[in-house]
Amino acid sequence: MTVSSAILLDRTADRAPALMEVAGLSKRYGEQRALADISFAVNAGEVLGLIGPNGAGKTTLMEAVAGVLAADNGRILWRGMPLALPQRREFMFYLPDGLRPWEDQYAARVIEFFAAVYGRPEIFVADTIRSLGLAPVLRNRIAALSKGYGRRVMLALALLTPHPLLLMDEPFDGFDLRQTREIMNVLREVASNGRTLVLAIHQLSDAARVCDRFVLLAEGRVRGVGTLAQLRTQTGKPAAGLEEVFLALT
Amino acid sequence: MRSPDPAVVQRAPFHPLLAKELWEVASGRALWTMLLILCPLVGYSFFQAAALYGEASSAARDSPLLASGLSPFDGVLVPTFGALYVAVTLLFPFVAIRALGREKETGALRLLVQLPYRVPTLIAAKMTAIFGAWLAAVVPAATALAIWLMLGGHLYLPETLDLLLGHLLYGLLVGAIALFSATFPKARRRRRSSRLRSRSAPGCWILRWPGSPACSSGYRACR
Repeated sequence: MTVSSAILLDRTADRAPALMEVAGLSKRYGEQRALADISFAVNAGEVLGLIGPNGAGKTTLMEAVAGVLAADNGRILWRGMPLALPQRREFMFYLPDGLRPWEDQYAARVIEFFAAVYGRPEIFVADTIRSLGLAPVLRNRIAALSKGYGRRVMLALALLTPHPLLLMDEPFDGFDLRQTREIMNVLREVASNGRTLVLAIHQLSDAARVCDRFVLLAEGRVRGVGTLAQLRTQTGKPAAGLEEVFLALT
Repeated sequence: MRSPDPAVVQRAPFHPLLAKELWEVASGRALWTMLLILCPLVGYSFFQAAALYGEASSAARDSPLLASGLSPFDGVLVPTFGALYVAVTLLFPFVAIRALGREKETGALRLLVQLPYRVPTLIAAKMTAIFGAWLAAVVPAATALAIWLMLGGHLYLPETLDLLLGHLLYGLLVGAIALFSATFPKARRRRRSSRLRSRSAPGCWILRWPGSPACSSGYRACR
């Protein structure tokens, strides 16, 4: 599938203008190609999954989109208008994978810091803490938190930001099955309130449960874009699951 | 083609950032280790200086010429602040590096740069926190001055302020160099830090106020 047909397929799913478009994004690390001509669109209020195995370029793509990493080529459009690199942080917030910031601080203090920066009311903060089940660990230092609770604190920070688009790298990493389902419900609720989520996920089963649409990545290239039904049509396997579709396209 | 209108807050209040930086400096071991070493060092220097100055004063009781050469500034203040000078040179860089180095290591910097603060604001908050750490380091020396006054010693305000200003500028210079060296990758940081210190050392003579140990000996000799 070519890049232009990927965007076309993406647009036909929803006639409304896309919230954000990634057009022709490329990135090389020396001789190694990390991203090659990546193009896709994200619609407002949806949960888009960037799906691919380890090393597919998901994190590089997210960092390049968020402006944390400079891309070699390509551009980002916001409702059809180009978004310069320094402007990106005004429109989207990127939550990297494997972070354990401000380890000597109490979880409550880190959450309060983000709430104060964005002027979030107490009721909103309390609601975020409740929805992520953080109340038992608020008086613990970040360094003392388990991997799961550490991840929840990071998710809380992302949810406290007011950005219309959230980019999250491996948001379910560190959670068991039950916790993963709880967090999926929280993210679905966030999306239903109008925020748009782009999630980089390598577990296809998790992605199939939470995402509305998918961007399939392999070796730095887009192999397919669309809903599961559209991807099934594309592969000619009407009863296939996401795993079979992914294997067929990559 | 115009850019889209900003979607969220472009500016955020400074105080949460400053509070975070101050907490970061205060909760680290580097500051408390420095203070733990600094307190006895300054205390010992002060009591040694006060004792020696007392002996010299009693010896000069019968000699007006000798007495005219004695000054609490050279005899007590400079040796007391000399301990601060040593601690700031050797230990303060660890406190200052931590203000940025830890955030680089843990990835917190990737969150911080996405917050609605300009880069100069982030640096200003870190430098303010480093200044706060320097103020904490000055507390033992300031306490020694207070004890000197309580013991009936004399302090001439302009030269005391001059001494403090010199140490403040030196502390901020050390902090700024340490912060700068923390911007380099970890492997290169040690080499760069030592190179920066050796290169900036000749420039430090400007900041060697009349009160600093190196200068005061020359100052005294001139007199």
